[in-house]
Amino acid sequence: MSTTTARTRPARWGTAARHTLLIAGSATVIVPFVWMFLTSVKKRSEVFTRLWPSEWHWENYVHAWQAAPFERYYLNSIVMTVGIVVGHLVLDSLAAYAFARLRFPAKNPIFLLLLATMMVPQFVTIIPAFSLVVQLHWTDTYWALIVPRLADVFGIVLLRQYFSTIPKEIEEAARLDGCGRLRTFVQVVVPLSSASLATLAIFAMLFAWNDFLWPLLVTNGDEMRTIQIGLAAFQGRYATSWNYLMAGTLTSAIPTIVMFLIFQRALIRGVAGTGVKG
Amino acid sequence: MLRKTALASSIAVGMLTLAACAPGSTGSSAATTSAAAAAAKPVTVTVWHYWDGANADTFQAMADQYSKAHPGVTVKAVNIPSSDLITKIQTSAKTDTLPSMAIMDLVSVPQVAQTGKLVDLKPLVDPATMSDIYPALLDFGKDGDKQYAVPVSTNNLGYMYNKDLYKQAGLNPDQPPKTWEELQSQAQQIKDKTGKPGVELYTQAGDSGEGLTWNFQVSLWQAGGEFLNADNTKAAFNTAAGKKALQFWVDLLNKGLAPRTQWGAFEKGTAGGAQEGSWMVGIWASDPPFDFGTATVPYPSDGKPATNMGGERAVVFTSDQATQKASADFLTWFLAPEQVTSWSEKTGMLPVRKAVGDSDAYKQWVSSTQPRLQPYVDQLATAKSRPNTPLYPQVSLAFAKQIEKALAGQVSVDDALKAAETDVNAALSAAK
Repeated sequence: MSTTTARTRPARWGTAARHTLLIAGSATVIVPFVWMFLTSVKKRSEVFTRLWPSEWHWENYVHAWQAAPFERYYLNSIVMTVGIVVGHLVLDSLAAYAFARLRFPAKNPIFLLLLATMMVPQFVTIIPAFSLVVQLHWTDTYWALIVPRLADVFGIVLLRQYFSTIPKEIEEAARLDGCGRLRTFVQVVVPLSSASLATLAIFAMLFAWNDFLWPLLVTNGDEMRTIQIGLAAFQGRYATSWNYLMAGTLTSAIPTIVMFLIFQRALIRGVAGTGVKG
Repeated sequence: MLRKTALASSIAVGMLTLAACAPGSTGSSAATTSAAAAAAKPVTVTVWHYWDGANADTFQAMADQYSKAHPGVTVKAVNIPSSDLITKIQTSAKTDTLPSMAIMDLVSVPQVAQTGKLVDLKPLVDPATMSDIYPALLDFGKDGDKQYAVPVSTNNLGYMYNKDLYKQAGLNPDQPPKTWEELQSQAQQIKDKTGKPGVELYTQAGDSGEGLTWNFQVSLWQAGGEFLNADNTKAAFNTAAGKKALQFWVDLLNKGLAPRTQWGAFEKGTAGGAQEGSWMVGIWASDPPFDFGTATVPYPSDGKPATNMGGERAVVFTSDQATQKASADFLTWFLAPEQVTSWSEKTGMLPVRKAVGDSDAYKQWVSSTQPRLQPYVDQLATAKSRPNTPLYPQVSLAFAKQIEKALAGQVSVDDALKAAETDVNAALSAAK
């Protein structure tokens, strides 16, 4: 705001410097995408030898799409991601609300225990989780893709942090007006927390959309596979088809990019909020 | 036990009939008879493999062809990305969810054998087929008298060079180097005339070390050295031959004849030549980044030709007898000369059987369709395999981590080999 009122020389230089910095910053983010796009329309022999393609091979996108049943993979990725995101929003927020507001026995020890599980590397839990899924006969089903990842500690911590910053008085006012616990939560707390819920939704979505190892372990065929497994096939044992890989990756990144554009303001507010107020 | 011997004898009888009609027959008819005997109950043979692109399509087509010709048997091919195939096998082994078979990189076989779930294929695969396979290919998966893995596809490292750069440098593009001395002088001429390094070496260990290690082993063997001792318990490369090989690499780098950059210069057209696998011929043939030629790997004039082999091995996991037998039958069919020929021609991989490698039909195909494969086919006889030990991944990384220091010019050749020897021996004794 000061820049618009004071049109002095130093201020203008300041604006110029700031913009240069911002443009440089944006460039580092955008250039990889430009490179991805240019690579995705090159023929194989030009991937490393030319920066600008000599001919534009749009058919790479068709080829990449047809290299595997990608429609099916796309559908599976969407079902899995929606399931995980909804699970995180509902279960994480309920748990977080309990930890932020309710009084129950051993609340703090339980919360500490939850926090402690964040220290356990994911790889340690993979084999036990996998053998559970096998015993439940869930391999090659959406159950296996979604249920074990329905809730996570990070989301609970994130939301609990945010819920405890909401003034108690607002909830107390609602309670006085005859609102029950659940209704207070749904109608008062949740609307007030949209920023942090959006943050959680984005994190959960990125995690689910990009997850590779778990879907690979619990699926044994094309019917239940997700996009990331399909993309991995372009990085073959003998050669990586960079042009097809980039075409496929760009196509598969569209949902995450769209989500990010829609939610970016909420995301920034949400992450900044947890950091400052923690 | 009793049931096992009964089965073994019935298989032996089956093998006799198989062997009886094997010569001259295509193999598919032989497999039909044995499959018909087992056709009582429908069997699904699930095969995990990491092939992609043309390899995956060819394998899928062959699996379909086999299923169609053998009622009661369905071969289901499942692609698993190569980076995680072993992880998935190891996880599945712990929960008894293994497939019937898997096809994997040869160096992974000892690791997978440690799961204890592999079936000895010696009594299950036709002995005439086994004895016709190039002997070095059978090293991996051999455990005493047992054979836990059989090769289904192979490849090796040759010398690939950029004909455009050769022409620019005033060199004859049809005369690639035959010896280390020629390699050095040609590289020097390329450097002098074009300013580009004449050759590329794999100089960085990276995450796995294997890129450097398996390329270097070629030079080591050519100089007369060995990588590990005969029973794979100790390093064997810290010798005069090892020093000679490493010195050759270091000299090329110090003179600027090879770049000290990350692997990929040759592919980008900025280095004269490099050791490249036979698979690159097929990948590049249709759309070459530049005019390229192939040759057998140059070796020292007082040394001997050698190269490193790669490729895939098939293993069968323990399950019910019918599935194990159906899996082995499929394998026998896949290794019949007709199938080996069509696999090799369609994928550009090299044949695993002498009967195919030496056949006029295959030679004809190479010279008319893919002449750049010829040097690789010639090398089948001198190709060596890496040590058959489950510790190989650790050994390979330990070796590369020390050798890359010499290649970067940080330590002397002698010191690097000594340090590598210590680390490799430590890696080999760590697991005991």
